[in-house]
Amino acid sequence: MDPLTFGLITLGCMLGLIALRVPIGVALGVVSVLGLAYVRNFPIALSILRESPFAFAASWDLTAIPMFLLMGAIANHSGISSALFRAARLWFSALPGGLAVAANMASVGFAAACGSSLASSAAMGRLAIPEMLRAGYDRALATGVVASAGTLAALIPPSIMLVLYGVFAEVSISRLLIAGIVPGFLTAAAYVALIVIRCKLNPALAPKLSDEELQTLKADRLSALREVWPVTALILGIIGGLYGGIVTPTEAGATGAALALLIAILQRRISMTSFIDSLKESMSGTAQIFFVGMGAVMYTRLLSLTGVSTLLADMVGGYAGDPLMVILAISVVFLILGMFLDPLGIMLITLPVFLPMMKALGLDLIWFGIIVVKYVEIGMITPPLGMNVFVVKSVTPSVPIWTIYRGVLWFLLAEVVVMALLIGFPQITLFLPNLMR
Amino acid sequence: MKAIHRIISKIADALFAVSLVAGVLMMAHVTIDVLSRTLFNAPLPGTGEITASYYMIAVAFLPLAWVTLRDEHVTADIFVSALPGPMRAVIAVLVDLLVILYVSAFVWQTWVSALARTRRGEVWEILGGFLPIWPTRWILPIAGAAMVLAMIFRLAARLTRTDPITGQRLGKENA
Repeated sequence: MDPLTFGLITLGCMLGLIALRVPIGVALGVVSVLGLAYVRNFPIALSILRESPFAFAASWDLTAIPMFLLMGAIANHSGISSALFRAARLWFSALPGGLAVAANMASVGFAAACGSSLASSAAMGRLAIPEMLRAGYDRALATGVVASAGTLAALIPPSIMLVLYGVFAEVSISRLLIAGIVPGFLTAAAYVALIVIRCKLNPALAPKLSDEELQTLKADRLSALREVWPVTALILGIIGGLYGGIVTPTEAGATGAALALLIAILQRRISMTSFIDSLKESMSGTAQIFFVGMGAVMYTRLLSLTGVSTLLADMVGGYAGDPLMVILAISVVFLILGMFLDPLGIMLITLPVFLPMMKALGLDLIWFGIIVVKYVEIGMITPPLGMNVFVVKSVTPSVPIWTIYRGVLWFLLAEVVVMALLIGFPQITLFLPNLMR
Repeated sequence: MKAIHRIISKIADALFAVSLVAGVLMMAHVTIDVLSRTLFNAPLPGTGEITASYYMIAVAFLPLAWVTLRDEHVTADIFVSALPGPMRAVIAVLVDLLVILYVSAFVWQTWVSALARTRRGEVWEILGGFLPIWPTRWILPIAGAAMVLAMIFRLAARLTRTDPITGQRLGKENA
């Protein structure tokens, strides 16, 4: 059997198993072990199962994952989302669609403390959607903005997805995290522009607040900042520390978690129970990620040992002068997978296949990381399986799911523009990390 | 079923509790290292190695049984949910068996590896000494074995229509 057929068969088997609801980590692992047993022999296959799990998990780079998760969970449990939304509401309400803009900006702040899209959509959904619906906002707009802005969490540091990508692509995680900043803000800005333009053209979408209410909102603006400045300082400290190369991502995560805990204790926003809940969420989340990651490491080994990786690299090598076709083809694959799989699964299944191609094309792997994470996050808001949309639905049961998807559709239009810019102009992503050293 | 449920949840909870402690230690140890390095120019030797080989291994593997009991592994539910009920039930049992088989192989192999490294007394060289690594090798087969137990229990619970988290019998309407 030639390597290409073999590679396609393993991929087909794996997707088949996943469709039967085999945990993605098990599907990756089983296909890798059986595949190796088929091309080599069982002892070699078992030796991979014996050695790679420990070698993968005992990695200093990956320790950033539990620490970022913990920092986000502590920030979330200490009610940072309500403080952020309160402040954003006071500052942005005067704009057309002001509450939707506020929800979007509060999500940006939340994204900078927490790397999880689902947590962001859940927290903002509980706060911002009832507020928007009370103010008479269009239901599709109110729910769509929360589901879409949740995806910013995976792009703006800290980001779990970027840490994982960095380990598989063997690129500097600090640079990746810094590279996520500009595309994250670009996406947020595109969303704001979309909301303002839509509400300007069709004021019925978002009724304006009364003048006296706007007046009282103005008065509270500065006091609202008192509540959010410690967390803002923490975030800037972390990003600055990473940018200056003073701390590694793990150290940024660990000190970030410790400081978030300290701030929450000083502001009397966290109890022992909610601290333990934060720990439970982050440690069980880590185990879930590593169970899939361990399978992905074995699949990478299978593809490289059987020559599939080399073959894939050779196949795209001819396009080195004009990589756009390959990138577009890869985009289609991500969009299709994004309809059915969750982000972690998509990323860990596709990286063993795509990374050798990107290396052969000589493309910048940091830039590609941002593109991958963008696509994976777009997958969280595309039907039929849009995890963020499901989360928004679960916190606002009164709104039908297709209404939420209708609201999200507009934000997907904004994403088309953002993706075209990011793919067409890699320097948008790369200029900030290239300034580092 | 009740007694078995109690034992398995106790095991899962105990291993999970150890991973929570490891998480707190990781945060504290790394933070103290950063503080001591920047304030007193005195890094704690071996922080990276201890974090990666002890705390990280505990955090990555010990919660597996707890996660398994709650069915929180990363899966794609969308295709199966479109199938008719009886077919779904058969597939679910087959999938459980496949997971049990895979994780059992993982336990067997990581056991072999842990045994070999214990006999050799595996260490990593760190600044100013040696860090024994062989003890943490045992975390993998232990966590894996607990996951297999949790998985067998889930399968039994599926066949006897018991709720795997509470250990209560399910009524007809939930079955």
